[in-house]
Amino acid sequence: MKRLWPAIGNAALSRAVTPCLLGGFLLLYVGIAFGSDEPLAALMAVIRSSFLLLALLALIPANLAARLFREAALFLKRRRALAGKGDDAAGLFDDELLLPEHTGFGDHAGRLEALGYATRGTERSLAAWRGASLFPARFLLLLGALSLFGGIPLSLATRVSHREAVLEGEPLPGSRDLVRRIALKEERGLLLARSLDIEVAPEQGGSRHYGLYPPARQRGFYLYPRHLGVAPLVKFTAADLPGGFEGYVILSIYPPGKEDSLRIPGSPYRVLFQMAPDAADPYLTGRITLQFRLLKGDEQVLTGSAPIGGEAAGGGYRLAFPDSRRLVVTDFVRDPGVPLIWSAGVCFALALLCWLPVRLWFPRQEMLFLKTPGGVLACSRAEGGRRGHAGRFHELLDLMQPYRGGEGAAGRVRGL
Amino acid sequence: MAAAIIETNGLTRSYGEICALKPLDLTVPEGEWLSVMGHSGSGKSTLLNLLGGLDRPSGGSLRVGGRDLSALSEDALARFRRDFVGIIFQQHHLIPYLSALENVMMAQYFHSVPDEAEARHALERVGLGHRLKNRPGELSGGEQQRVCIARAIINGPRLLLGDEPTGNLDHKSTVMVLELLNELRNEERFNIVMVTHNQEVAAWGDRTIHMDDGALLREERKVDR
Amino acid sequence: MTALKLLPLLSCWGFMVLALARACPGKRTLAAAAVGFGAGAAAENLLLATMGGETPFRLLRGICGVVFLLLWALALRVAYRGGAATASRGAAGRWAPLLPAVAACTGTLAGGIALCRMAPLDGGAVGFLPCIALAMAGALPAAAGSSLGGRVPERLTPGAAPLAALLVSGILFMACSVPRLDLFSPLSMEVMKFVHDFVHQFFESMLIPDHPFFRSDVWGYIGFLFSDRVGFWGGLAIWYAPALLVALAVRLQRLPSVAHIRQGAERRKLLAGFIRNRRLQLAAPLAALVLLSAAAYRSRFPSVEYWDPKPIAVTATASGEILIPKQGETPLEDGKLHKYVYRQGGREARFFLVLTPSGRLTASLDACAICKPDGYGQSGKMVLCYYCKTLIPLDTVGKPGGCNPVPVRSSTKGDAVSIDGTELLNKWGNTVQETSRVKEGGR
Repeated sequence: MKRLWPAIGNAALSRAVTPCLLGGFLLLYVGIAFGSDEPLAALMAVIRSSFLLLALLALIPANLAARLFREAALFLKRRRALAGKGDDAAGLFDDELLLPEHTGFGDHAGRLEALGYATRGTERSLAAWRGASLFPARFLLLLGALSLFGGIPLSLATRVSHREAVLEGEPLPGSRDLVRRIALKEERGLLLARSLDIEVAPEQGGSRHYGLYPPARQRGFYLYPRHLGVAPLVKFTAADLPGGFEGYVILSIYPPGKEDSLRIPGSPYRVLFQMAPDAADPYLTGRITLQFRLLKGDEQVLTGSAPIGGEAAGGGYRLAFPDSRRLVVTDFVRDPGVPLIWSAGVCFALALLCWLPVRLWFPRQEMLFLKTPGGVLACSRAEGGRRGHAGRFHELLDLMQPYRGGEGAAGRVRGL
Repeated sequence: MAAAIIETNGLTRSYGEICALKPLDLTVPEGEWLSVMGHSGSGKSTLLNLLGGLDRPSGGSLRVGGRDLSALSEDALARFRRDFVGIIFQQHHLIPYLSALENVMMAQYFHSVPDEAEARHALERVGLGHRLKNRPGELSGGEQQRVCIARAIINGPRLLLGDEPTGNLDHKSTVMVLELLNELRNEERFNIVMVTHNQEVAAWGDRTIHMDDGALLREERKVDR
Repeated sequence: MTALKLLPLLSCWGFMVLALARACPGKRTLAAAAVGFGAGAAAENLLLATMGGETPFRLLRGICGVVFLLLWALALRVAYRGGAATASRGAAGRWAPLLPAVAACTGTLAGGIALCRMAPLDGGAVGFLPCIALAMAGALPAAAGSSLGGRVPERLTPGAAPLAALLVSGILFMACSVPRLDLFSPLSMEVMKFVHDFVHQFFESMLIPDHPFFRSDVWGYIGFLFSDRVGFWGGLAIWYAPALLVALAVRLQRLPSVAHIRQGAERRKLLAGFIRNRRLQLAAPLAALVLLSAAAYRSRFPSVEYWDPKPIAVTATASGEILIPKQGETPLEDGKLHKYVYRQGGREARFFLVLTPSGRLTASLDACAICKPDGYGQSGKMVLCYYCKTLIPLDTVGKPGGCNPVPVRSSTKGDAVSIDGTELLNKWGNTVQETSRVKEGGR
């Protein structure tokens, strides 16, 4: 059991876990692709329905979290060593060398400072560094990956979505808050050309607005507008339809050219609607003209158009649209994974902003000379500009242990 | 007796009918500074070129650093020159548009890879740590020659050849350069073979050989300084 | 003619043998390669003789696909580890004992692919003598490799991962030279499907507004992800990635520590030697990239000739009917594709008529419901979709599904074939990918 925990720990911290798991899911996707036209949706459905697969997917954020802690611990340990507080700097640097006990290093601080390094010397150590660490970028990257791979299984396992029509003059589905007005405006932004404003009067009074993006929340659900449409009041009469038909009809016929249909209940009649195009967007202006085709079975019996507030008749049929309300077909989505996934994007963007300038212009370069029982440990590490930093490190070692021609070129080495 | 760094046996060099170097037997032990004196056309520069692998002998044997140079291929000879030999000329042949540091790094580049820290250290060693960024035109004659010395020894040669390196310098600079060479020789333990027509300069060597008409006339051992 | 068809494949095989010979000098590896080639050709011929149909090709293509996936896994591993796997010079060391087995497997695949290049389009196996000739042609590079391999400078000896990239790229080039084994086209299609699905799912999952709300210029960029070109470019990225990852892993190999060496010149010599070797190790992955480019080119522009006549423009009568005489300028019932194009009111539809082997004169769109409408070409009793390179037997033309051309309702009126023009245009508009996807924005 005692040996099991370290093995579990090593496995948890292993860099191979995430790529292996991702590779496994990729193979699963490839397998599904052979038999499905929508393999991604099928894969998501398979994962959602399998506890084992969800658990495997959840191992990824667990691994990333473990690695995040491990790297943070190593970073702090190295900082302690550079501050002269640590006793053991082994394994923290890229290059390590053991020099004889008598090797003096204290006199070289000035030289390092002339080369642009900041130094800190104590009785038993000399540390030198310059540049900024890439660890914050690395931290953000790992945090972003953790958020992303934490958000994905959470979203898959817990997402709930239902589609409703939000209609002017009607309460918001699932509540008593009244939808006062739906307005579409031309508002050119960075990405969007229009803004949508759903003005709602909450039950307790006041006013609330729901827009396009970022989606607002209502009782834990995001409101995600999908399609715009109209709900005209349709009055239909036909010779062989006693009583006719009258009622508000929900039609997803925006933008102009999109078709939707109404089946008259209890009759063979079906009406196909489209919004007539206009110079200005009808939804914006409110001047909506409906083009329709009346079908009886498969046979077209009437075709025409009429504006809202107007009517059309012919062949014994009459269609009138005395009124209309705007509507938005909206998805109500409860998904705790969404904020995590968006945070991941922010973290990745910040990581890149941190990483790029530091890596290009002032990467971290460090040296440490530490007296240990076995001799003087000389360590070096660079996150960028490695060759130049290594040259300065070697130069310092040459000064500490000058080469005399005719001697062996190699000194005593402690392997990494 | 120290091992020989240079051993020649009947070494000759001819250019057509002209015999620039007559059969020469010469042994130079490790660590020695050998001065070669003679007037123009005496064969001293020919000897220097042969020792540095810049020319091939017409006859006899030539062993430098234990290697028979006449048996080496062109590639092997180039590697020998790169690893074993450093050369300082009377004309500095520094690249005028590169700084002192860059001139030394250029020698590193042709040897292996440049290393700015090592080049800087070499220039500091020859007393030019404050002139790294200056171009040859901004340096005095003595300083230029010191850059040449740094350039010649940066690749750790075992044999440093000088073809009248102080020929264009005034007395003070000459002494400075020769003192520097002597210091470096003792520290780095390389051999010097220097061609000169100046008696005072030749006197810095451990031994002087006099050449005339391609042949070795006589040699003199110098009193230690 | 057959020799000309096989020349590029055999040249590629020769290059691969040279790489193997350099990586592991010795007769064992080359003998394994030669034997493998012959065995692969024989095995594939046996499958063609016994199974017939598309199965032998699908099997071989599947194996090539698995090999490509394995290369991906290896490339990711070496890139992730920072090139540690390629640190040792050459494929010598711990990989050397495996090289004869690798050579045999590579030879088997290469032999099978080369045989497929010779296989008749109508089905059936290759004759005994041509098969033997092919096996001997494959063994020739192996024989020559033992002497030529020694002439390649030792410093060009590829490491394990670069050698793997080179061999797999060679296999892929050979496979893409055979339309029925082409991997790049199906890869492009799958990438296109994946990107469409992914973008759709991403928009839905992240609650991003629908396209009518976007600025048209911004949607133009997003629209690229819904277009067919994303399949090509995405496929190309996946195609090249393993070789690029291996090259990256080689390039990012850390220089060895020289801090223990006190003489500067010695340190620099060691580093220079390592840098030089590292640079030369890039030769194999770069050669792999060249082979992969050639493979993609062969996939896009196959050298096989297909019957593909220029479409004849047709018009409709007053009642909207298209009438094509059976015995017009060219008789329709000659067993060949006859292509036509109909234009009306700014819309266009391409279609063809062909007499199937069972005697039916069928009308179909010159496009399927899945692929970009690049059209079809005919070779013997098969038609080939130019986009995905699927070969469809003529007997199944007229039946819907898969990559079959979309059938169009037609009837015989007197001595002519009659097709409804409006129905034809509607069918094209509703089913062909290019038009239907752009309308819906990929949803």
